[in-house]
Amino acid sequence: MSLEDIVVDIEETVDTKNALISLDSPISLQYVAAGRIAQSVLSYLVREVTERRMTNVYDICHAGDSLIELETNKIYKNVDEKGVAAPTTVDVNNCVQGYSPVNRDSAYILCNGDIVKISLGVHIGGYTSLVSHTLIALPTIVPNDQVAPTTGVLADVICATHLATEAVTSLLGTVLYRYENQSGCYGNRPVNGERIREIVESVANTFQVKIVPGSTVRRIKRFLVGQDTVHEVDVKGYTWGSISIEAMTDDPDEGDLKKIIDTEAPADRGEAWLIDISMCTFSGLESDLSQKNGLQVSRRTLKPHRDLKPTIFTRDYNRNLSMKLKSARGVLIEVDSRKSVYPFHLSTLSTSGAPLGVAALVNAEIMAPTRVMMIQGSPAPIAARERTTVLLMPSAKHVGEVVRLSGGGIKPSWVHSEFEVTDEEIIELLSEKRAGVRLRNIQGIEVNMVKEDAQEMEV
Amino acid sequence: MSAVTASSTLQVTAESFAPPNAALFTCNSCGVGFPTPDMQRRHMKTDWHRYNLKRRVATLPPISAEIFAERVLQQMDATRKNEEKLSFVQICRACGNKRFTSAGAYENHLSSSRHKENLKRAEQLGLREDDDNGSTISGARDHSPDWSVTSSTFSLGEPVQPLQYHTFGFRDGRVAGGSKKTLRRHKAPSSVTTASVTGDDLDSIIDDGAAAFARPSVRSAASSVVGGLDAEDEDEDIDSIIERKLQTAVKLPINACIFCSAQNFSDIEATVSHMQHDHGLFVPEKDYIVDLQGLITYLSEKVSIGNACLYCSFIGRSLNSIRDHMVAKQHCKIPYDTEDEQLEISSFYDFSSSYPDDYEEEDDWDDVASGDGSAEDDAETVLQVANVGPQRRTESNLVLDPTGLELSLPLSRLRIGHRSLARYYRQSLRPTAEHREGQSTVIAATSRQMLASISRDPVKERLTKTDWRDQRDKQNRDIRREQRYINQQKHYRDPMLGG
Repeated sequence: MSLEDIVVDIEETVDTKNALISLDSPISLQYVAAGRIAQSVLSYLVREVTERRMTNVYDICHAGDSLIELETNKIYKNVDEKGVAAPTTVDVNNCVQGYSPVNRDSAYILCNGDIVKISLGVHIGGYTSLVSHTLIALPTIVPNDQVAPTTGVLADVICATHLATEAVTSLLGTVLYRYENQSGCYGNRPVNGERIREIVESVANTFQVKIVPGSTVRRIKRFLVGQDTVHEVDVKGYTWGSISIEAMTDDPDEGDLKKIIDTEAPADRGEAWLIDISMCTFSGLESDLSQKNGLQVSRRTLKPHRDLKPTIFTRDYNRNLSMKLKSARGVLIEVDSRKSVYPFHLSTLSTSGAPLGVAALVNAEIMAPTRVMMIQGSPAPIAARERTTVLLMPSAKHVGEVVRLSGGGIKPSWVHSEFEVTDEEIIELLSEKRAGVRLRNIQGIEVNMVKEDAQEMEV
Repeated sequence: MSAVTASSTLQVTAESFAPPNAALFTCNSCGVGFPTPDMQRRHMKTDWHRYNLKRRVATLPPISAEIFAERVLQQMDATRKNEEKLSFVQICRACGNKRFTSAGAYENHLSSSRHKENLKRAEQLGLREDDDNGSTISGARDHSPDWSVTSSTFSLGEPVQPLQYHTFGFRDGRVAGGSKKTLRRHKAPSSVTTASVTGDDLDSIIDDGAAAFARPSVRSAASSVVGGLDAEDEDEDIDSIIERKLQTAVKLPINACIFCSAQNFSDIEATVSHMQHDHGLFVPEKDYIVDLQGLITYLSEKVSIGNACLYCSFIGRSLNSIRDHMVAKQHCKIPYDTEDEQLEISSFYDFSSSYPDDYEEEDDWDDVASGDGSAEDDAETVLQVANVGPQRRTESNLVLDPTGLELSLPLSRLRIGHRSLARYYRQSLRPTAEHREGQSTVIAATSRQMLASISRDPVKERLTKTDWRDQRDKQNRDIRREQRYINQQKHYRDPMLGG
């Protein structure tokens, strides 16, 4: 299939491959299947962590990836491209993204009171479900109602993230039932990037936390979920800056942000949306809310880890160069033939001398690394992250429902924050009724990591 | 020089009587004047004026109109006389068709003793009723030494070949000379009387003798040898010549060699084999020959009856002479290079097995009628329909690309590219990557402008800009500095100061 063929048919391809017609349509089923696996694996990992069975981050990451592979191989046998859409990463405290160690010995061991963010992603045939959950690693396993909830800035940030995500989910859902009256409107205002931004920033403001760059609420498509290497043309939603170093700017409003994402376009039914919100407590460097940056963490403080090298890479298929280094060539061949457009973990490459080759490829900008990003400050700020994928599913029987592919049903940590949401609209969105939005959570299934399977998967 | 009409001459003359002062429009080179500009212009177009111009160029004085007219008439007379002189051709039949191109020579010949002897001989033989001088003006027939037909008087033990009317019908219409003297490969020199010998007569002969559709018979072989007869000649025609030749011809049996006196071969194959080994006769297209006997017979007739060389246009006086010629000159070969030569013996061959498979013999005419495709196709089809000549197993439907740079051969399914694109055909490009769905989606969705704007290295940019700035500053500094000394010339010698 040559580029010319693609360009000619792009309109048709995109529409037919991305339109969600009903919950029974093949595309929706693939989404749901991916979501189910993501939810299952995440639940499993969360349970393992909270019940103190897994403390080595390497184990957690490895288990997550293996389980995903295992489960996706069981279903959709005819679909060629499926599996891990985002390698399992465990980001602790002020680490924001990208930590998935290669060596078990040098991996981080979870400590008490760590804020642990487990992120992973599953895709089947390009239909992706990405999920993240923040939890507190507690010293004892005690039923929650017998213990005092965690308070303080930890609680603030976790609450803020959780509530912001919930509010945005409901907001997107309002697109469905208002369709007949005022398309894409809630409260006489369209549900677009700007509106989403307002909601999220309002929540962040309330809880006095900052939004970490890289947070996005955007519409996703098949194979296009906002990878670093893909610069899409028509994106709608909102993004709070970019976490990749190259594109980061101090002022979120200036620069390429406007070109990246269309904040005016309203959400529509039949679309899939990714809600990825990270918030962090104030660092010692910037404690004043009234600063120029406002709620967004500034570039000065968000930096890659000095020692931890990136272990997750994404192939940029827009660049093609011939490499001199033999291992680089080998890696490239392997990646082009076996890997998809999603990030992959270094340990999944079987070419000899893969790290060296990968480094050369990164230099040549053929592959983009997912760096381990930390927020600096003293005291080091804590970051929380919640990520879900939702489908704005129309239905024949009723108005339509928001299908939360993953992330719903996992209980948040036992925290209590002194702040609370005051905005009426947000309160309505967060209430039981969810402002009239029907929400369906995809439940996970029981997954088990059998030791034998684990050994096999390792290869 | 075209004729000058009397009236125009008179007119001009009348006008020239007018006093010069009255004539407003003059011609200086002729020395005349005209009252109106029209007349002057007309005068300028006349031949008289042109002639005067030429005279002026040759620094001669102009001549008047009357004198010019006289000269014109003189010239016409002279040319007529010249033409008459040149076109004079007299041929003395009695003296063996001796040709005379001048009247004086002819007159002298008539009064010579030799001619008178020949006349006597002719009368004795009673062959013809000539005109008074015993000669007639005949066509462009070159002569051959022996001209008597009935051989008895001149027989020397061997049969004498009859009159060689040599215009041997070559396919390309050449009229060849018969004797060594007049061996020419071009037509006879132009003359009034020889003008008729070409065209129709030759064509008829050629058609007769070389009809591709019919197998050449003895008659046709003979007539192919017999030459172009002038229509003016009533005494003899081709048929009688052919008859004469046939009567006196040496019958070469099929078991005899054409080129030497070897005879009594066991069969035709042995004969051919002998001819091939000893004389170098190669039968072309052995795969397609159908009638070998016929071919050999045809060739032998050509040599024995017509005494014609197979390879060149030589006509021998006798079988021996032609044999000697062929052996000595190594002309014991069948010419097969040009199309005409091939057509000559094509009736002994059958090339239908070499035609392409999709060609149907039965639908010859249909093919031509319903022919679609390129003009080349039609031409090729027509050629096949005519079934003319031998054809190799060739591609019949060559299709040329509209750009003219590619030729398609449907038979062998080849595509031939033009040499001007040779460098591109020699290129070996990296095979295009076959993308899976994810990759192609990503590639299609990416906007290239975004890439360009985002993936800039600010550090590199800053350094580059600094470099440029530094370079520019350095240039400016250098320019400023050099102003002090750059115009200093140590050994300059100022002209003002006596340098």
